[in-house]
Amino acid sequence: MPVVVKLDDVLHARRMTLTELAAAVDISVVNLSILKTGKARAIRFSTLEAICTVLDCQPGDILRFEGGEA
Amino acid sequence: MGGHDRVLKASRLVVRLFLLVNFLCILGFVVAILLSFPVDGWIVARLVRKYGPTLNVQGAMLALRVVMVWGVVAGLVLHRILTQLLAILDTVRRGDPFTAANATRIRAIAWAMLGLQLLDLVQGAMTAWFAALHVQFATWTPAFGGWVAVLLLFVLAQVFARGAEMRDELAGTV
Repeated sequence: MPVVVKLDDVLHARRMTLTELAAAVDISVVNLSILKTGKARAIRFSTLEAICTVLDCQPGDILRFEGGEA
Repeated sequence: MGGHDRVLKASRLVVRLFLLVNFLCILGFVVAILLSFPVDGWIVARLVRKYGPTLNVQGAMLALRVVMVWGVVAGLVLHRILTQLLAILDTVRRGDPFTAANATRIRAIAWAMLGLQLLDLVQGAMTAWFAALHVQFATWTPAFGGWVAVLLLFVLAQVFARGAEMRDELAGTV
């Protein structure tokens, strides 16, 4: 998959656990885990906005387009 | 929510009741077909007494048996509709009705309804046949509503299939 989720890296940089983020953005740990492991098929703007607000980052810090694979 | 549960429960009960009645009708038609051979003479005598000696007895007997076979076929088609409907109601009860399987079931009901409409045309032909034999039979008028229902069901099946696809897509959305 060319779009890679870098949530783990940002969480590590902020010294924050997934459980803490889940509580802060009001999204279940299960759903955030799906996002973190790259198993999600889509992400809502509202989810992205909440994560970026809590982690004080840009969407580009969480999602990165890698490679020219189809 | 309680009201919905009651409607759902009542619907399942009605469909089950229809299934039972339909099964008994099919059984009745099958028994009638089988019995029509050993009691052939008795039926002929009753027909001649009612319609007189000019009656085309062979034709009337054949027509009666065709009606019974028609009844069995119509009953089997109706059974298909009711079992599919019961399966859909079960998915509603489980709380997950928007599935590709239900779209397939609605399409199956649409095909079965088309079959019933064609059987309705056969009934029209049988009405004309009985009239030609001068034997009493049910009156018949074309069921236009049924054709609209067939079209509606095919469209609904397509809408349902697309809806199930969209739901699957949404399932992977965080």
